[in-house]
Amino acid sequence: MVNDKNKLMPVLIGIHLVALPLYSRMPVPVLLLVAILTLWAVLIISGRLSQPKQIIRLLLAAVIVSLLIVSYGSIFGQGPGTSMLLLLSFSKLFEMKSKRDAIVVVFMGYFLIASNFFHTQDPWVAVYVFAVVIYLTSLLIIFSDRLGSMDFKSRLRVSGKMILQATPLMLILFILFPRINGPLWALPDDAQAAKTGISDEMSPGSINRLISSGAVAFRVQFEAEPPSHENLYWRGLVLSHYDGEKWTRDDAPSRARPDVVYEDEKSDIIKYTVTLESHGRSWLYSLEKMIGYDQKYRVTRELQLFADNKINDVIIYKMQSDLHAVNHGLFLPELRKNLALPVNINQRTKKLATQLKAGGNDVQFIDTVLQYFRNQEFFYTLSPPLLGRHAMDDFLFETRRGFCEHYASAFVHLMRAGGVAARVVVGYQGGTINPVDDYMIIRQSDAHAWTEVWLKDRGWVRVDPTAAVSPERIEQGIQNAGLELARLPSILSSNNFVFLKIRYHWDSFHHSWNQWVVGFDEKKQKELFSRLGVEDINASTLVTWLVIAMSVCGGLVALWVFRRRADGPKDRTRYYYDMFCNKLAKAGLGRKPYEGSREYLARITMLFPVVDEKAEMIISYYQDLRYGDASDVELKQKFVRCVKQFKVKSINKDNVLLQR
Amino acid sequence: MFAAGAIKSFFRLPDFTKRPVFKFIAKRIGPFDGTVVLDKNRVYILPTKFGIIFGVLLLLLLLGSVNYSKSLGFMLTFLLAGLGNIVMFASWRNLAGLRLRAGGCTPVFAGDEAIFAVQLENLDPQIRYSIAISQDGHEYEVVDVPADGLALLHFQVTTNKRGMLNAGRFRLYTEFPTGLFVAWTWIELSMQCLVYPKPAAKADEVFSTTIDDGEHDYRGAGLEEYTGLRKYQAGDSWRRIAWKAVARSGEIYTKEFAGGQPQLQWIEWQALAMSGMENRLSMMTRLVIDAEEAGCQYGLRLPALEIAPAHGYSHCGRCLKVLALYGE
Repeated sequence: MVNDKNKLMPVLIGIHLVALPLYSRMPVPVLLLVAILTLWAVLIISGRLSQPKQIIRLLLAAVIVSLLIVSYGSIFGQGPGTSMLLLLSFSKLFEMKSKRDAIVVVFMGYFLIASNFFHTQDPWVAVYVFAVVIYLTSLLIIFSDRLGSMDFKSRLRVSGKMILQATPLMLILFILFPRINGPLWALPDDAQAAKTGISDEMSPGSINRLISSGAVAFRVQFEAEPPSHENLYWRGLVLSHYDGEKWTRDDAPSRARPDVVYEDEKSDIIKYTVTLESHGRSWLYSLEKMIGYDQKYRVTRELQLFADNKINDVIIYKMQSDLHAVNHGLFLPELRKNLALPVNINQRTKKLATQLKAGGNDVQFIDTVLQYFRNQEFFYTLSPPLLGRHAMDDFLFETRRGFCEHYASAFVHLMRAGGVAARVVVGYQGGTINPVDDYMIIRQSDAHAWTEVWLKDRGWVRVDPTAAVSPERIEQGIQNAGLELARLPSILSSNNFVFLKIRYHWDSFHHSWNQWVVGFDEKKQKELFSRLGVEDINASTLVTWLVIAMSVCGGLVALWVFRRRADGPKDRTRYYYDMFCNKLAKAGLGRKPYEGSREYLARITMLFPVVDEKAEMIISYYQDLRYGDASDVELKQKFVRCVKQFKVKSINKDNVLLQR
Repeated sequence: MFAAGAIKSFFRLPDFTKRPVFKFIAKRIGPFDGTVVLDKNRVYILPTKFGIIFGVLLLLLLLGSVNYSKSLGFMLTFLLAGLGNIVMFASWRNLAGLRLRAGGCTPVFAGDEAIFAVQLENLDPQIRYSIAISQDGHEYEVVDVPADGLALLHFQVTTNKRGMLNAGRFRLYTEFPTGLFVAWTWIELSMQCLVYPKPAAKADEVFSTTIDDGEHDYRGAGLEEYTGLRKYQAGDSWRRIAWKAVARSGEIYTKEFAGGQPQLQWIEWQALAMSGMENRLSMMTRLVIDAEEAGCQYGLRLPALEIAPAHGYSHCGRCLKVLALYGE
């Protein structure tokens, strides 16, 4: 029934349109199979190959499943599930026997397109999905336009129109549909999700790599004035273990709560909301030092903030920080951990530490080391030379060129060698205000590494050795640190005013999108209604409102759909003449299809003398309008009035018969 | 078991494609004289099985969106839900507001298919696509009705006895634009088809006719002997046109025959040596057809009714009509 290539090719194209954004995340074997299946489908649709036999289809299914298991390790989960659905819809094209198969493929398309949202919910994805939905709907039109009289363009027009008409309903539902919090069933951690931004390991080059990316890490809306640039330390992770090559997280974190003390003066507390882009990891960023956070997250003793799941979506959270809060906590095991160094390597560094310490106290020692960085020939650069097995020795005595991870690493190493507990902190430093909406953008290029040193009476104190080498980096941001501009993202290096303006406007739009679309949950719903003056909205009121709004909107849509043209039916004279005939028809005296007005009148007069005068008048008006001057408005009005007033008393059929 | 059967029949939906399901619908069906506009309360709508699958798909999407807290998932779900809603209206609108008129129907012989035509008039400036007609669950034709235009839909009814055949109610329906919903109406227009008696098997011999003595020697009424050509006159049988002469001269000539067989034939009820009214009518129908084909002048004699001898298409029709309606 459906072996028409004019119908099946668009379906094939439709599947590809649906899957296009997914391809970049699929393993190569799956992509290869997609290519093979496409080619095969084209050959079948164009009639060069016949539909495969049952046994081949079974084999194909087996190939698909085993391929998925080989490339993903499982057929469950988002990645393999999506690929499976995609491959199945391709193979469905092989056995198209009826309209049903094609429509099922289109439905699979509606479902598959949603899997794009697992990866990103950016505005462009929304636009793309919207467009593809229009296309998929036009495929449904192909199969209901049974004579095939619509061309591609008119199908798209019709489906576009319907989707547009559906948009108000979508908005109403989106705003008013009660949101249920949390997952209904446990979510498997998706191993395929993209990881971006700072990782939980730091080795030479790991921060450096991020600098050329202008991608947004998170955006921050401060409730009051933002702190000055040199105080903008966005804490991510604390790395306290060094194996001579890379810094890693503590593998046995303490379950104890942090020991933070802060001045209880409200003026010092900075309140802000972070809108974090998905980064595929579970930690969150906060301004140092956090003192208040959302209870659904977990805070560690090192003042790291964690979510229960990996962050694969934009999330919004409120934070409170105090720049001067003090983190006192240091247990003995922690002290030991933060003094540990790999043995037998970097001996020169250790010797240097002993020299610099030279009997002074811890604070003096820190100053001496920073002085050392400042006064010796150290350079802050994006292209540091490679380091050997004794990485610290190489850096401190040979290359002396490094990026923040080199300085942080070397500084902590020196501290520990000098007997001072110290650790590396990774996160972001700085941020640019978007002048359009006055929020702060923190990009990947703001990635940074700094250190913390434990002092007996002051707790963990932040020391940023990069500031000793390149104070501009900390005070004015990465773009002013004298680095190679060509390696920085264009948004930072560009001087083009128009370009920047467009970028900022776009970013501002993106930020609002994240706030009001992507992050629209129960809380936002409440916030929206309280802004509109409705406090304490709950699910049942929402449903009531939803029903009301849907009815109103549905009514409007119905009116639009059922609208007649402005002047009513095209031929008003005809319309009212029919009305007249129908009134008579109720009395058993309908006009026969072959009867002209004259013959009809003759029959009326003969059979039904009671109404003949009025009927005669109406019919003569009708004849005048029809065969005389049709533009005579007065006559038309008279005609219409007469027809409307015309009444037939229900007449006895026997009477009519008698008269006949 | 009791349960299985009861549940099965409980869940089996009434088949609205074959007959109207509810009584109130049956009341509105007609038959209607003249024109009928398919107004609001005459067009019904239900989701098709694809519509139901679509609904299930929406539920799955909604569940997924809730579970993964994907706002855009919600949006897609709601957009598709809105689409379903719009499509419902659009399918309904594709049928509602059409004006129907009964079309003509050519008489047929009993046993043949009577073909009825229904004229659809679109009063709107939009084309109405893919409107189909069916009767007793059998689909006959699909048309598009042009904007402000007309289209014809035909359906067939098998005839089995002579007389006037009512077209009966039929179903107009459309699944346009998406196949998710089907909008339909049941309607009956006053359409009748004249059904002639089924002609008897070709007569072996002429035993039922009275042969006129042939007082008046018609030129051209005989069959046996070719006498020449004359100009074509309306009513001459096409079988006797001299096509060669036509080809030569460009004018139409009729061959003339003379003598031999009877020139005037009476087809008589009384003369038929068979029993049963229907059998006789059937035989007479056969004789009328044969006489007409043979180019004879023929007349019809039935109890209490007589049709004077004549010849030609309309005469033949008159005779057959009398036979069709005899006794009704």
